[in-house]
Amino acid sequence: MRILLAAPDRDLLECYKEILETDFGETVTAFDGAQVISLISSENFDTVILDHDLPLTDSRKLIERIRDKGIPVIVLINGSVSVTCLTEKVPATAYLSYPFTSDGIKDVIMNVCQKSSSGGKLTAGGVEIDVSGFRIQNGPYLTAGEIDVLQSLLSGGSVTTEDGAYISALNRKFSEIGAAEQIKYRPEKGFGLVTNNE
Amino acid sequence: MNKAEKKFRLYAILVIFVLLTSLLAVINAVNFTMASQDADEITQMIASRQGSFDHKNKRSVDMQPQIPEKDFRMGPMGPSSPETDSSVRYFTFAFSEDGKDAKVVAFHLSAVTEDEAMEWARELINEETGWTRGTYRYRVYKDQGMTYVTVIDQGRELIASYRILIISAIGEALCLLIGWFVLLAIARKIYAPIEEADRKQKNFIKGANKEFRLPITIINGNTELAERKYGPDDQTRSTRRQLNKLNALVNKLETIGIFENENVTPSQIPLSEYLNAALDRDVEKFASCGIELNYDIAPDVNISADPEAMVRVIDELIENALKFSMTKASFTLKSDGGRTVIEAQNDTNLPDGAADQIFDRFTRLENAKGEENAGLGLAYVKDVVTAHNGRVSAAVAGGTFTLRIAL
Repeated sequence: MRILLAAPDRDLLECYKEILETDFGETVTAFDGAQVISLISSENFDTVILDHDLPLTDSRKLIERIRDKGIPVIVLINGSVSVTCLTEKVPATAYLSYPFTSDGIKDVIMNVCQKSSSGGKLTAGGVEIDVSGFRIQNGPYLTAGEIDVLQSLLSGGSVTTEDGAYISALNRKFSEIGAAEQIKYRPEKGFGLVTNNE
Repeated sequence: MNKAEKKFRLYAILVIFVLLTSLLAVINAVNFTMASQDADEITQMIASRQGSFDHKNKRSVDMQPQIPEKDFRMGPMGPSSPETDSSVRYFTFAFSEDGKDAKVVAFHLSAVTEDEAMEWARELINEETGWTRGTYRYRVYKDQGMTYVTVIDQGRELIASYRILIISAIGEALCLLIGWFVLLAIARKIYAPIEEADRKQKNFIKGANKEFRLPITIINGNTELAERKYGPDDQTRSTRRQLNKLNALVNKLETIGIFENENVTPSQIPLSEYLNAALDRDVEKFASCGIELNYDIAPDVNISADPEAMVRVIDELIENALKFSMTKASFTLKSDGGRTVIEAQNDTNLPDGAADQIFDRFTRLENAKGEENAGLGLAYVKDVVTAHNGRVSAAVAGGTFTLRIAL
């Protein structure tokens, strides 16, 4: 497994390069956006981990470019994951908020890589979801958290208000593609996928 | 413009209004009293001259001691002048003791005929002094078995008083208007540095919060690496404990006073469902703390709000109830007159009035177990509610803490 870790702090790069290499495999580091562009153009990576405030680049465009190549992007942010997810300032595959631990980053990478390599599909009512591509078929991109929520709902698992940001984002994306499906809270049943005419 | 500035302007204009109104009320009251006194002095002057200016000889009045002419106030502070004789509009009738016979002593009034004036005077025989028919001042006095009734017209003098009253009211309104605009400029000047300081404080907290996050992540990583290489020891465990504390503080700092209108990303949220789900989730937590939890949530209450912020507000309310309840806590949600009202109530060890500063950042209160909070949760609740144009209030009274949010 090859990981590209890009952040504007050399101490962080040095420390987490060692951790990620121990846990996952080769980890290449980049200090700015120009290096990232150069590396993703010439080399292959399974996952890219990017700091949101990487110098010398427009984060949004860079992330879109990497995702268009089919590589999942984990974005390191300052602040709330769910707020970022709701406002979707950057279309990441997953978000990880500073300060994180080695276990935290490991969990996110494993979740993303497991989905990315699953080649699986999900059907939520009339909506087809390409799990490994992290997107609704012919529709917008999804985050790993949103796919987790959908998987949990479809397998009868529990979804709580703590997933509220993912639920709101999913409902917005379903509306965008004109799908009748929405995730709603049903008294005594909890959250569930319902069609609008139900 | 912030709320403090608005409040300052409102209170300042209120103080100006009260001061101006009091001042003008005193001026007008004194003016009217002086007009009455002037009228009394003139009627007394007439009485001292046998009921008419036409009588040159002064004479005594049995009800009033004779007043020497030199004692009547002259000039701008008094009613008397060399023109008083010809300028006063009055009449005097003298009545016999039984009131049947009457004679005109003086008649210098155009508004009534002599007969009407006589009937009018007869009505006043048993009075002493006062106002009659709006603008006329009268005086009744006795002399040598006769009862004299003198009535003078004070219409012109009273109109002058009313004019002063109207001019005062218009002047006050103008002063208030000018004062409002002056206050607008002054308040801006006073509050601009305060707003700037507040903005800098928020920016500092926001920046410091960001600046803390990266080093904590790196220390976390380096501690992990040290433990991997040399195994965990007391030092790495202590470092991790301190890092956990810093983590918690940083996460709390994120909620501090930086939630403003521009941060609201509204969407329709099912508030009833959110509250029910959150309380259902924490029923056992309350039970394990020995707190009886009751909630009465009106169904199908939907509001337009920022979902993330509202979820966090609900969590803060629950956390607060968990931390400060002694034995019982309750939550209600209702729609009240177009407003959505969330009320959280619990018994508490806090003294009355302890909630006065509860929404201020870093206001730390101690619960029954002696634990302190960070003093940020309810400050965040207030920020979010205010950003949604809602109102939040809290009170401690008789061992009951009540927090009310109206959205």
